[in-house]
Amino acid sequence: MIFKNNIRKKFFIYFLLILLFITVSISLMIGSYTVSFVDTLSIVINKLFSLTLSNYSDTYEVIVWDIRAPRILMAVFTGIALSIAGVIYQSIFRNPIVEPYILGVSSGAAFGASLGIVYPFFSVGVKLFAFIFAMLSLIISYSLAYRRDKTPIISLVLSGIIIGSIFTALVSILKYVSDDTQLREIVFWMMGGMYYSSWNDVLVNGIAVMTIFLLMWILSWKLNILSMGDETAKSLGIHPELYKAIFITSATFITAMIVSTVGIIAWVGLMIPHMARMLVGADNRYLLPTASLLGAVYIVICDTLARMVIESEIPIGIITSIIGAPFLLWLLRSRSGKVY
Amino acid sequence: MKKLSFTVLILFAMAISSYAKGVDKDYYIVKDMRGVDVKIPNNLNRIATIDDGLVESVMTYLGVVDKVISIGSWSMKRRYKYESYSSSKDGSSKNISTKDTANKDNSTYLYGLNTALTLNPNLEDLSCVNSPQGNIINYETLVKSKPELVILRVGDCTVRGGNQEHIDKTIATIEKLGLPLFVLYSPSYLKLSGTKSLKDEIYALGKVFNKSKETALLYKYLLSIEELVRDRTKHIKAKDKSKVMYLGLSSSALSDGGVALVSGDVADTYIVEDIVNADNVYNGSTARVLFSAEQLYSINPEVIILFTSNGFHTKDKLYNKKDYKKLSKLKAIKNKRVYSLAFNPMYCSIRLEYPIDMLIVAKASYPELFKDIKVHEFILDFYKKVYSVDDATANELRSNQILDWTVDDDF
Repeated sequence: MIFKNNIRKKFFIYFLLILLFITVSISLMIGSYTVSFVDTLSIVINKLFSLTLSNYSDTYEVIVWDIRAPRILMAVFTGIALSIAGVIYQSIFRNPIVEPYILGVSSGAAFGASLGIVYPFFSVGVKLFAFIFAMLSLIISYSLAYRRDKTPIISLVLSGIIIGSIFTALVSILKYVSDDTQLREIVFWMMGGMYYSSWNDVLVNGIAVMTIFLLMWILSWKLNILSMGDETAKSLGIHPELYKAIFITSATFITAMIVSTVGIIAWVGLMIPHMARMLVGADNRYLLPTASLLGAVYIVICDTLARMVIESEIPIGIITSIIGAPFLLWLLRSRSGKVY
Repeated sequence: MKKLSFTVLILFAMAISSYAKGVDKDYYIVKDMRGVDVKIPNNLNRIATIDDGLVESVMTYLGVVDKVISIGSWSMKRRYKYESYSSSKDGSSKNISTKDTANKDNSTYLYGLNTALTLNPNLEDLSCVNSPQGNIINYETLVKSKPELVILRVGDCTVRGGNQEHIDKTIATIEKLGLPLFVLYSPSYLKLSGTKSLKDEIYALGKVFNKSKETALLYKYLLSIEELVRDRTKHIKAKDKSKVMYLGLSSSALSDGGVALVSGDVADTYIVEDIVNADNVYNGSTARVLFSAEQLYSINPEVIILFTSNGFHTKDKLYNKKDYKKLSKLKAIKNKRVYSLAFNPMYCSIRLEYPIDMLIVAKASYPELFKDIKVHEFILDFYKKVYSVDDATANELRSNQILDWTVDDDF
């Protein structure tokens, strides 16, 4: 029975892997500017393997390789990062409504980005500032909650809420001192989106997200034990504080990386883990890859819709919320509240 | 043999030079505001604009706006509708411009249009390469429109000036697509007060269209209005200056716990203090700051200027709407010295019509000094001079900038 169940779970993972490949391929081929399937394929093959299948115009190359490809790959890594962060947080905190921004990461990043926008002269760049303050929010939250070699979950959540609200207030102060242009820029940054993704962003985020993903996957059985509570973990020979710190820091690190690059994208880290759990259950060895693939597919679809629904573009946050909120509502109703 | 070789060489050189001349004849070079040489095709017919209306307005003045094939702002595709709160009981307010039926809240409707759209209704049918809130260029739509030149105004609501990384990425991507790009820097991007950089923008556009003489005349006219105001107000001593406040009645101000948004940014302060010689009583160099009723009373301005802030707002709203009753003892409201600026959707940097706003502020601040100038007549004159329109279109422009209150009040 367990064997059959595992085959089913593996089937889902392979299916999602193929689905992600198909989604990415379709997304690469479609857009408001028509580039044929052959040209798209030629460009990708030429860029990856330096092989020329057919001659295509330079404009096609820029559209497929410099405009579409980086944002699609950034969408993939965003989906993976926010989904695995959601899984980790929900497992560690043993709470179904926890999401990757619980420790004030989004507020910290928003403050860093706002600081970079309002005071560009001493900023090292909006993205880097956002990342630094996102990580700072984790360090402060953790330090506040850490007492006598322990980090009680409830203290961590509370300190996260406190730090989040302090950074939110600081963002409001920055909005107060910003001029009109800066104010509009802050609001725009907070909406989130892949519009400004570059190959450099893809490389940096891709390496970070995939490294953390592999590390988390290798340690996923320990996450299973941690999700049973500190006492159980201790009795099974796991050092709960050490592994909690590893998991939370890793999840926050990739969330901070992603938020500093693409802004705050709502619902993914909350919704996708639930969806994945419906497919493969709560075993993190299967849940992590399933959630990350599902998250990647979801964000790629949302981003493709964002640039295709109208002739211009709408923020991806609108699409993720339109799909995410009703889905969670359906989940709550259909499973009579048993979503975790 | 030598002679023959020499002759062939000469002929070859002549052929090359005539070919090169031919190439040169295909385009001319104009420096944009980045200092980059941009190749402008001689036979320029397809232009993509990414701005909120300044470029289209200047192109209308120059008579070349029909070359625009795609736009970058939804404000040139939208027809705006706002509620106005009239004072008369039957709802037939006299202080509103275009009106619809009255509703139970004693309000009627106002309709506003971007000036560029009123002048060129066909803009509405062109594809827009930006998202409705701006700052997200759809490069694929831009390429699809096959422009021969892209004119981008940095610091407009279309591509805002607050994040240099984003601006650099936008410029780099457009150039990588092989599209000739002409960049204008707006005053708000350069963080300059005054109209010097607007002059640079207008002059640069003149060079693009080989109409430098015309743009020089245009700027001279704009400057003459500034000078007119300056001349009349320069003698006012510090103690006699009117206390002016820019107020935005955005509904978000009420929902956020305040009463209105106050603006003191460089452009507003420049008009109020440097040209009109009045006091901008909130000179905080920031924009859209939430103020409570108490804060407003602590400043107690003599004149309130209402600007477009998440919608157009009339003095009637401030006088009659329940939410603002607590402000009724403010000097400006008690003395009925509240005035609306022109309707300016997606207004991130000054546009060609700034002299109209300037004159409204001047007359609102010092009615005695400008009693011989009827602003409603000046507005029509301005449109006719700048856009060479007839009376009917000038009237339509005034209505669409929701400025008919100047007629009703004989302002």
